[in-house]
Order: sequence, then structure tokens, then C-alpha cells
Amino acid sequence: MSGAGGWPSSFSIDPSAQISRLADLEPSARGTRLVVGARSTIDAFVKIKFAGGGGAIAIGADCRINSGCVLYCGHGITFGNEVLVAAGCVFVPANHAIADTSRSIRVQGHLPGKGGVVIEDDVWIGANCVFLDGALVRRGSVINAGSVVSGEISAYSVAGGSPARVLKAREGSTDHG
Amino acid sequence: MADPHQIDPTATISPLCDLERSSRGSRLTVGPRALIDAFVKVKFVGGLGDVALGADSHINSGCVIYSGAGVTIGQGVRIAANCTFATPNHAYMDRDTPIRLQGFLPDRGGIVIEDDVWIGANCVLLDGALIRTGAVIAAGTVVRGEVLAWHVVGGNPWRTIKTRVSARQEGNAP
Repeated sequence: MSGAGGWPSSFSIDPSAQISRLADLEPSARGTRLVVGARSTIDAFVKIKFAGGGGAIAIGADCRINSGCVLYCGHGITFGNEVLVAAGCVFVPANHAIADTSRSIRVQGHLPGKGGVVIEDDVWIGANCVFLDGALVRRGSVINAGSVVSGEISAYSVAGGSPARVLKAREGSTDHG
Repeated sequence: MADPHQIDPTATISPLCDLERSSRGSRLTVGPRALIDAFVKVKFVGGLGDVALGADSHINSGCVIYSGAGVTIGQGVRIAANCTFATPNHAYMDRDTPIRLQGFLPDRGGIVIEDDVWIGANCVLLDGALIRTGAVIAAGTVVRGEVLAWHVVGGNPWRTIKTRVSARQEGNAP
């Protein structure tokens, strides 16, 4: 079942990407794809797990995923290019169903998806953030450390908090609005 | 090449941690009886500072330390799991250049943790954080700036919850 570069056949990892030998990229039992683009790096103690849904995980070019980050595929995770993710962030686009108190949460399955997690190009994510199903961070935004994101963050903004909201627009010469 | 790090022989370093070596001469020093547990990452990036862990201090699993302008941890410090020492800050003033290519902001002096401090799980410490002796940081706190001695703080942004009262302080109020 081994594919290019010795990775599992469901992986498509650019040869120029750097994956720490201490990262744990667990292949999907269903063959759902993991894509990592050119020159992206995945550091030690990053865990990628295909659980909580049937979504794929696609990471663009020149991304940095730092130590201690955890990505559960859930309803899908998509990173654009040049996404910088600080240490200890969790991406979990899946929610347990909890409506029935007569049964344990463990056996109630998951809620329908809300679009997975999408991070557009040139986004910087601070340490220890959590991204839930439906999180959509538009191009050029910055997310403060410790934020919990479950909705849309507009382009070129600085956002933070739990739930995260836009705190200010990024300064700069060009309005990409 | 000799290991540039200075680890006291009585310190415990998990074989499952990842202590990188600096390509620019920075070093890690670990004092007597200190502990670095599994899945701790020390990365020399964003500055020329050193990382120093004092005697009897513990760093628990999942913590990540970026060196930046330097991280100094005193003696008898307890750091719970999954804390991040986020010392360097990306510059992002220019929208027309990717953040990735804008380098780092000037440093604010790195991170200093004095003696006998307890930091709860999942905290983030930012560049310039200075935690004075005997302070306690609640789980999930994002720390920027100075936390006074013997104070208990928490939240994001953090605030003082209370001060620690002890016999020690009665004759020497902080």
C-alpha cells in the first residue's frame, strides 16, 4: 500500500515538503486523501488523524504546521498557500451528536457537516487556537493566540477570542477588502 | 560535533522530546533534577536567545518553546501540559507581501519566569512575558507583560484573580 516517497498510497506529499520523523500522519482506513504542497513543513508531534467524518485534508504550498498541532479530518480541512500555524493548534471540523441524554455520547455519532475548516492563503494563526466545523479564515488574516474559531473571519483582519471575532483590520497600503 | 546543550546529569529528559540544536550558537541549559517530558519541542527560531530551565523545574508533555530573544525559567517552576512559549512575533504590516516573508518584529526581551511559579495547562506565553516569583497562572491563560509576585491570574486577556496569602508574606508584603 506504499505510495510515492514511501508514504501510504492515500498520501500525496510533495517531495520538497519536510515532515518531521516525530510527526504522526495516520492514513485513512477509507483511503481519504492527505495532500501536502511544495516546501511545506510539518514539525514534531503533529498528529493527523482521519476521524469524525469522510473529509480530505489538503495543505497548500509553503505552509508551516508547528509542533503539537492536531488535525482531525472530520468534514474536511483545506489550507491555502503560506499558512503559518503556531504550536498547539487543534483543527477538528466534527461535532459529536449529544441530543439524546438516554444514550452515551460515544454511540450517538456525529452531526452533519458545516463545511469543514477552510484557511485561505497567507494566514498566521497564533499558538493554541482551536478551529471547529464551519471555520473559514479569509486571505491575509491573523488569529490571536488562544482563539476558538467556528465561523467566518473576513480577509486581512486581526481576530481573536472565544468565539473569535474581528478586532481590527490589518494595516497596509492595499485594500484587498 | 559536541552537544551544545548543557544538561545537568541529574535532570530527566524524555527520549520522546525533540530538543533541536541551534544553527546560530544558541543553547539550552537544564539544571539539576529538572524534567522535560515526552512530546516537548524546543526550537531555536526567531532570535539569538538561549533557553534556560532552572533546578527542580518541570516541563510537562506537549509544551513547545520557541527560543526567540530568549526563554529563562527559574527554579522549582511547574509548567503543565500543552503550554506554548511563543517568543517570536511575525511582522505583518505589509499586506502586499506574504506574512511568511516579512520576518519577525523587534523583540520585547524574551520570556522570563522567576522561581516557584505554577503555570496551568494550555497557556500561551508571548514575547515580553515576565512572571514574578510565586505567581500562579490559571489554565488556558494567554500571558503578555508582567505578572506580579504571588499573584494568581487567568483569562484572555488575563486579569488578577487573587493574591496568594501566606505566612511568608505577612512580614514581606509583595
